[in-house]
Amino acid sequence: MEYRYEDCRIGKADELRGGDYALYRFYEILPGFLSWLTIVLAILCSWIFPMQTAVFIIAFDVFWLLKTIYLSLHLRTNWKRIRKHIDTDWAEELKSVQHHHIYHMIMLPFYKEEKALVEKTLATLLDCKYDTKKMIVVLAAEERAGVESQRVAGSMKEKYGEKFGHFIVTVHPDGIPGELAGKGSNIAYAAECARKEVLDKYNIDYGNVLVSAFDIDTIVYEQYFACLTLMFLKSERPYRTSFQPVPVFNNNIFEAPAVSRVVAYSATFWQMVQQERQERLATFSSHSIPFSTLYEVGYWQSNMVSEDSRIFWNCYMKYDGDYLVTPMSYPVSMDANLAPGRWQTLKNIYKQQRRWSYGVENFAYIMFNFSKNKRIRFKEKLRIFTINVDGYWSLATNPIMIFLLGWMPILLGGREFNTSILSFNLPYITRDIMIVTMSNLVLSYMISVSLMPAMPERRKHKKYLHVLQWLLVPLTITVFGAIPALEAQTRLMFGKYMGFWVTPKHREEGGGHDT
Amino acid sequence: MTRKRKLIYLSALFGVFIVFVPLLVLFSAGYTVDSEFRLVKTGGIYLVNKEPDIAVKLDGKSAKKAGMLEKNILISNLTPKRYSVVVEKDGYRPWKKNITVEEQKVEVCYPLLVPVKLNPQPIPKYLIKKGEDQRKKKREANEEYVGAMKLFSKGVTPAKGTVAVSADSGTTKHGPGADQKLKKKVLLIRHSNKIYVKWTGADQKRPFFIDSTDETPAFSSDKNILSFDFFPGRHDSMLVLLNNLNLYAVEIDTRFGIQNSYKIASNCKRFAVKDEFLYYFSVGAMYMIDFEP
Repeated sequence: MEYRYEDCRIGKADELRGGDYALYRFYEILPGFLSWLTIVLAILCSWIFPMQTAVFIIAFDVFWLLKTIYLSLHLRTNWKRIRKHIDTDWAEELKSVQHHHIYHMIMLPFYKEEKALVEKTLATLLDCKYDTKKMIVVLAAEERAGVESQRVAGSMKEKYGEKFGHFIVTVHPDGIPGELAGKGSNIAYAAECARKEVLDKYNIDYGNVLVSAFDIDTIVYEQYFACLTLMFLKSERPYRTSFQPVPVFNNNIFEAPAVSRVVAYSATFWQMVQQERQERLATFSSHSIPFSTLYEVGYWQSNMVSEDSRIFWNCYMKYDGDYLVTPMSYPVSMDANLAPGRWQTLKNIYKQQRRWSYGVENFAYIMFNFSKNKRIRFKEKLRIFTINVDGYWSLATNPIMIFLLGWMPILLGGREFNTSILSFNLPYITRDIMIVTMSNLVLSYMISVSLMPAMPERRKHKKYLHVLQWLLVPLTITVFGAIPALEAQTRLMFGKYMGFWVTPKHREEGGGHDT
Repeated sequence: MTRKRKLIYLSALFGVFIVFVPLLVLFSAGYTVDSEFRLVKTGGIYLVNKEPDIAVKLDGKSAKKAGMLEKNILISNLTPKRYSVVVEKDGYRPWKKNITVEEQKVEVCYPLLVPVKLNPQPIPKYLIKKGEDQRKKKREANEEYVGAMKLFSKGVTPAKGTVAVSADSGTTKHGPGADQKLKKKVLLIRHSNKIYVKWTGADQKRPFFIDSTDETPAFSSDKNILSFDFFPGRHDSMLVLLNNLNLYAVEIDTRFGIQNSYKIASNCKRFAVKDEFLYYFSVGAMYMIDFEP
């Protein structure tokens, strides 16, 4: 049967029947199964084959070190590229090309966030070096958030409505059958409203509109839209690509505790590395996409959690693999996790990481579509399969293997192994390799400082803590990396599907910064 | 980053992996290169140690010193043969062993370091305090003495981690099966004038100083053993009081031929152990020695 993309916008296996259900479930189970198999095998092998396992651990430690070096080289390259892009006067360069026909639709979904936070985001849009009359602001409220959020949206429209080309407020109805309450369903609804109320009404060509799907805390740097417009206009195939900025979680970086800062920067660094690996890059968090492409693929999926990365895979499947992400190497600022109270902050970090890791739901979608779509080459399918399996497996297992399972042969290996010189050397070798690996964190510190806003005078005495915080990395990549990833994969494996968890935004009085 | 550059980096790192991993595995497994560039197998000695600032000599030559944080010492790359091992620390009696190192194996030892000057502190039964009237002196019971005396009485609270299997912890009752002491699953059993050791936990976790799963002789004397207990703060050494009223510290480890023992006190009538402290009676007075490293 001929593959039809529209028939395969699956959110979870429950939407299918018969063989398709079984196939989709198989792919939902596979990542979690592989991760758990790795952990169980590591324990079993430590017990039954301690000598061989110790050799494997040494090899794996070296692999981890070299992988870290390899990724650090990417990080450094992207850091230089970001600095160059920040220093570039994109608005000036834009003058050399015809660009006045380009509109920017800015999706700002919000839930119960405070008025001040919404206002800050809107105010920074006005500061951009781009004609605000070419901006279509879509403030997307949720009915389930109650009247207060609609009141905030109304007051924002009243205050800022005239300052932009178009400004609409949408209210996503609660309880639409087949939808999962969350950002995806909200912005999909809002985009359709904007199409009818603005694009069609004012006869704006869909192909001339770039949609930026932001979070409500996304603060754009002043040249963002100029940069995006130029990249779009200079792209060889502008309707077969999404545009990915680098999310820097530094809006409230000085108020956030050390763990939150490290997790936030780690997420940024990972995105920076991915920017240098376009072949592995999918959209994440804030991203931009031509409206015509978005309309053709049917907007963001409204029946699943990870709509930000899924939209890339939607496009990829719609165009039979002829789609990619253009790395912008230009930052947008977002909030690091911060809640009133340290314990609540830690819980929120964990939940956010679990939600991000739940991007593993894309794996079943990709593989299911691959099984149906014969127009994509097998070699390409194999490449995507390998990248995804490696990504999900590494995230959930590698820190556990490095920091916890490395000791298993010594604990379980028995007397014979424990009298061998290999058993005694193993902890020393592992420790020394880890120390060398951790030395890469010096680069992390340098980059984090360069991405940091100017430190407020009242907090300058704490700047040394920003060096020491990097010692938390083994903890953060295990507790706030591997474990939530493993939980997300396990939930998917057992069909305990997750809902969309909205990260609460909290800024202390006087928090935030100017870009 | 360009594809070409990525390929160069990947190739270089792959090369490092291919070369480095086998070398590291061989080194970890005890292989080394001798003076004639031949690959030879070596072994090692591991010293379980809590004392700071110790130095180890092998065959009279300085081999290694304990670090600030890592006090346990691994001496690797040792050619398989018999070594005379001496562990030294200023102010302590040297600990000696002749250890045979085998290929790709590590011999684990538990040096027992005892200070040269033990500095026993007398614990008086009463403390003399000046009363309100400065000329009159008042005699008060010493709480430390009273507390220590409880260790000597029946039904004492045993030292941390120690279970007094018999009711009599330090008295002079003897005869077969009169006393047993258990600490961290190491069981000491007295039969007449011999002390045996037995591991009561899972064999996988049996410490190296116990050479067998069965009951093994750990100490014997031609004199009667009045009492015994674990050395303060350790489960690999013991204190033995003989009927010549000398109190000895003896390591349980009988491997490698030498069993180190040191005289701790003379004219000792009774003793008791609590955590890192030894209490004993000598010539009618109570003394205390702190063995904390």
